[in-house]
Amino acid sequence: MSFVTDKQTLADLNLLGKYKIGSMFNLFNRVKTRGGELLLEDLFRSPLTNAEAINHRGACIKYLQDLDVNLDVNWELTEQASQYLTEARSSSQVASLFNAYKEKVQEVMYLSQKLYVHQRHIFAVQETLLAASNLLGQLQKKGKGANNPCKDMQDKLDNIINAPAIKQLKPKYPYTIQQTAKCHFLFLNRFRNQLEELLRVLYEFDVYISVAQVAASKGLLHAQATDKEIDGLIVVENLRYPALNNAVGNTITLSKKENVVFLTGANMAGKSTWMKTLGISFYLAHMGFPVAADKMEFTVMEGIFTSINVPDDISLGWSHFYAEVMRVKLVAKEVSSGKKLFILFDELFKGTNVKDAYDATLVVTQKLAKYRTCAFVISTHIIEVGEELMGTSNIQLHYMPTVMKGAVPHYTYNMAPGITTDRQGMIIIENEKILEMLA
Amino acid sequence: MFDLYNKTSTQGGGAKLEVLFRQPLADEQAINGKAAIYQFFSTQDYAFPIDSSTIGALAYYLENDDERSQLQIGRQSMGQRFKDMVAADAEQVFVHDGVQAALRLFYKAGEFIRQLESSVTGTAYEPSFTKLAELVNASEFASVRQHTTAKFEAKLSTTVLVELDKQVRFGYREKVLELLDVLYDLDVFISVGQVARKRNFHFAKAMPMNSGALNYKQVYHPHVEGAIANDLYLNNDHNILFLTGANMAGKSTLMKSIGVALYLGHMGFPVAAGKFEFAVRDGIFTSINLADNLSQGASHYYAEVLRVKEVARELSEGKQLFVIFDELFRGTNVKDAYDATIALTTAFCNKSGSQFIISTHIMEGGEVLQKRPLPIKYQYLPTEMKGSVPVYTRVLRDGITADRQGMIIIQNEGILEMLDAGIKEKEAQL
Repeated sequence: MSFVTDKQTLADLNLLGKYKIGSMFNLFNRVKTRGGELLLEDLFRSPLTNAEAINHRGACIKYLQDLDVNLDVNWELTEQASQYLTEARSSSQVASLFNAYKEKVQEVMYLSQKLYVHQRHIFAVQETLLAASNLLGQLQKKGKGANNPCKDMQDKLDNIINAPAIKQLKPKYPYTIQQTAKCHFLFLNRFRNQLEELLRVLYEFDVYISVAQVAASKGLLHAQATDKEIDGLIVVENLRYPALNNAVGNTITLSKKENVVFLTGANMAGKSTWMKTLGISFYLAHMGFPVAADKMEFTVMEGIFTSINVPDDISLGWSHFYAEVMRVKLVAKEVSSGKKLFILFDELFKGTNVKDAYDATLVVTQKLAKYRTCAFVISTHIIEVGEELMGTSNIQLHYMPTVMKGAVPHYTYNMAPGITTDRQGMIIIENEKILEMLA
Repeated sequence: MFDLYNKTSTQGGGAKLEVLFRQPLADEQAINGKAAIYQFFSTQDYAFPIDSSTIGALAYYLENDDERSQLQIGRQSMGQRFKDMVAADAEQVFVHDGVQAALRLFYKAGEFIRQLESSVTGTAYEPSFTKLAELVNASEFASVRQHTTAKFEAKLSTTVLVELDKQVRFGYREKVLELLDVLYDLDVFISVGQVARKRNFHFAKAMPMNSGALNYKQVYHPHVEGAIANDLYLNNDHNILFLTGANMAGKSTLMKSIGVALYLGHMGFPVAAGKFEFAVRDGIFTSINLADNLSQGASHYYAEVLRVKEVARELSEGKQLFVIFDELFRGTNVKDAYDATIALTTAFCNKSGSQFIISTHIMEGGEVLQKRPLPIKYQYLPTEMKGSVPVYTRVLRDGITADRQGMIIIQNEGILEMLDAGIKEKEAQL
């Protein structure tokens, strides 16, 4: 069973993308190896759906964060080492020695680079081993013995680095031909699988340490996952937007008894940002990554769908409204199939006339609300819908308030219970003095 | 749109076309003059006389204006000459290719001029053609012309090659560049004319600015297959079109086709319309797909307000504009959108020199405006129901729509049934 989501959701929440400003991938990407970067991307693409696995990864990151270990490794050299391990396996020590001499002859005869390249690669592997043993040293020195969630990974490192044949290996670059041949045989034949394993573990450490460092510098906290059948679906306290430093936090509980949040508020009051914060935190928590909150507990769910910036699709001839309807249809299909999902709809049906938007928002919200194992956050600027929904037991009404200071609206970004009555649209127009310009 | 009109056969022609797209004209005589040239080419089936590799090779050759790259004669040692016999060096090949390209270009251009000489007189193309003829037949290029041949490569001695290289690349460099420029113009003329002919586009007529009228007949969107055409007339007495219509009725597409035609009209280009007359504008502003700009902290609504402000500033400077606002203020609550739409539309009425198209789904705003004596035209794109399926005619009608098909679309997609069925299944399991 995998975590379901789609492209639109990933884009709404700005999760992926190395070259995208402000993406969550970038926020956590402080890795020091290419393999680590690929692994991080992989983690982002496949959140977990198992509470044990989520909590375990969270615990590993937390443990590394508390230990404050560093991975000191060269990007280029690890990359070379990993490439080296894709080369053909040398069949025996003799063949390896013969090959090394052959390459030496080729070097003398026509300036072949083969031997040189091999030696560089061997050097890269040795440097990588050194970095790994350095990390292991830190882990052992700072380690707290019992309750070590990284024990498996640590043991793997230990076994490989301290294998007698590897440990005894002490030649220094540049190598003699015999040394080259020996290392070549050791790395590509005898310890090949172990070295591949070592790189994998190293990448994993790389990612976890990177995330731990971000968590430490941004003051992030680990969410607790459960897959027991309990009432609480998503419980957060003082949840903030992870990439912003002075973000205002909000507290909310979505449970089976109250599984729908109906959010209203003026423009610019922070509705969209709050919804994105919820979506991002939910997603990160399912990856076992830390979130910006004082507390977060959640029941493991099977997916997330958001509809925050639904684009017009002109090439397909769809109007904005139709694009929204198709989006709702997709969600309805997933929800009705019985999956446990987290759904965020921002400004539902904004592309149509008021009467239709009112009818559609009301009926869709009411029908969705019946799915008690799914959590919903629905925002709208059609305040009248909220008034109609008032009194439905499982729908919570909240709004983002606006405070007027003279003629200038101020936004607190602190969610409050109820429905907003703030209408600052005209005030913004007046503040920008547009009508005066046209007079 | 650039792609639609770009049938140029040279890189320089493509670049010229892009410049035209970036700099529409604002003077009716200049526009009509340009349009007349394109119109002439739309009636003739000319092909661009010079192949792109020749003109490309020449342009590349001219880029190198380093005097040291000239070939030397006389100072060649025996050893050098022997080397040349075995394999020509890169510099010599470069000069040879460039000069041969120049010779081919002059030959083809000369032929083109001879063919057209009689038919061009008295047409809009004559001034540009005369310039081309003058350049090709300029006395400076006498020795170049002397060596042109119908063959792909002329036989040249090294002495002649060096001499021609000197003339083409250095001595009369400016003239050669001028000639290329005129040829690129020709390329654009042919390309645009060809598009007008093949797509059956018509040429717009530019009128003086103060006439203040836009008269579209049968305008449609060139990228939509089987597009349906519409008429629209705005003038100083009716300078605002208040456009309503259900979703998917085609409001955005109609507004785009109107905006595109006006923009292309200002370039003198043929447009996708049966007939089109327009008063020259100082500018055009549209707000059809306004993106949220979250990174700047601006919400959608604020982005819209800032856009309106930008337009208002231009208007307050006395510019006469054409403005399109699609679904104005869709990012705010209903009450505000209603108030803002009425206030702004009323304010725009004062700017009778400029024309506006405002579409909205807040029909209630239109009903209020209708009761006031304002210079507003009310039109809508209707939806007709065939059973429970909405059908869109895409033909403008007078008035304000009362069509509300939003819920019908939702019902057609079966969303509500889907959700009901899911709940029933769950209850059955329990």
